Amino acid sequence: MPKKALIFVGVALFVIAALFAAAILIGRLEHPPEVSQTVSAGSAATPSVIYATSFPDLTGKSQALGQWSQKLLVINFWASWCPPCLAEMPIFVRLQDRYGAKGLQIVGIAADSSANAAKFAEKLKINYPVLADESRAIEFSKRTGNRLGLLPYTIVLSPKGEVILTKLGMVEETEFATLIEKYLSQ
Amino acid sequence: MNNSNFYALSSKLALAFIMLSGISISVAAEPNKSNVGAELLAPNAAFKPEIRQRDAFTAELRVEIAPGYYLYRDRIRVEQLRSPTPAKKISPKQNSDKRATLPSKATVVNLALSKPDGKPTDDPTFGRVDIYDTNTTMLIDLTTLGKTNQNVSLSVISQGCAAVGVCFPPQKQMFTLKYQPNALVMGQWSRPTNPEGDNTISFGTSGLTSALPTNGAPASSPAPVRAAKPL
Repeated sequence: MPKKALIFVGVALFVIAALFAAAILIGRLEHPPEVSQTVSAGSAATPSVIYATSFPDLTGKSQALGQWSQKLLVINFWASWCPPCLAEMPIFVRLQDRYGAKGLQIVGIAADSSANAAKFAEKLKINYPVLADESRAIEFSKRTGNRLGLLPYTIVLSPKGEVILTKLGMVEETEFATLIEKYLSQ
Repeated sequence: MNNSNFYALSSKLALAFIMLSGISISVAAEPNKSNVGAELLAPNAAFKPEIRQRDAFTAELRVEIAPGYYLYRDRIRVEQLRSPTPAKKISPKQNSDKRATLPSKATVVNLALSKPDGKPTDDPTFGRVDIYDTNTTMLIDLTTLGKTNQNVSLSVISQGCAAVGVCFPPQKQMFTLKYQPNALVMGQWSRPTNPEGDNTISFGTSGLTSALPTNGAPASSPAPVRAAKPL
């Protein structure tokens, strides 16, 4: 191949690669990635803090999260003013039903009054413990890594006491079930 | 161009191509690290309310809403914090009436708010819900303020979400409005005195019921604002 042709090919490849990189970077800027789940070992969530925390259940009785430390524990923060939270909760009902006997424990913490939480827990036929604390739930979720205090927010802790996932936004059922199966089989 | 220059140039171009390709691939394959809200705005950046006096009877509440965020129309309200009145000096004759010696307590009063129509959306749980997803302006009724110049303490309480599927807790942003009933020009825009906002607000059971229709029925409307001069 003549030298000029080789140089032309080299320059063309360089330009193509530069354009490809620029297009991806511009695309990222114009379309920020949606919130999605990430395995976040070493995140701000600290299992010892989580297990040591208590919230009142819907009867007002204090419940320590540490009572479920031997389970694969899914803590879902929600509120009645949060439509994505309410849309997501049937997924947790199905997962609790499917994997509860195998060691999964889902716990809902409502950033809401116990009256509102009870109303929606009944309406959505929640089959797992629901705790409610309008004044503390959001602040607690922030301490576990939910920087802006947005909902829905979910944390998963393994039976070994490791935070294996923090998720802002709705969970995707199939993906979440795969994660649960992986950790229940260990 | 001799052979050594040619090969030097070729190898540099090849190296540049490999590096750029590597950068492109690593950018494309980078795991999503936005999980805990790194890409999302704080509520005080997503929703920016301002208030100004419009005339003797009304103030304007203007809310700048960032693209990709929305507020629920029926979860916006304005409260006035009324300061306690000091104890009055009383004559010996009045002294037998102990109530006259006591100052009144601070009270919070809901001010009527006239809102434009929202954008109707269908929510699987709540039915039809109206939202604001662009900048919007509402009118606050000031007819209860009387006819004296005063600094009025107002709170704007609102709740909204990001379109990516996450919601902010109810926010409370506080304002001091310099109310001048006889002013001939519109007041200056006031910004929140607590820029960070306060997210420890409760709608309470009744507030939720009125704000969120459960069967598609229209939500309760705020009290009408006294007719104001056209803008």
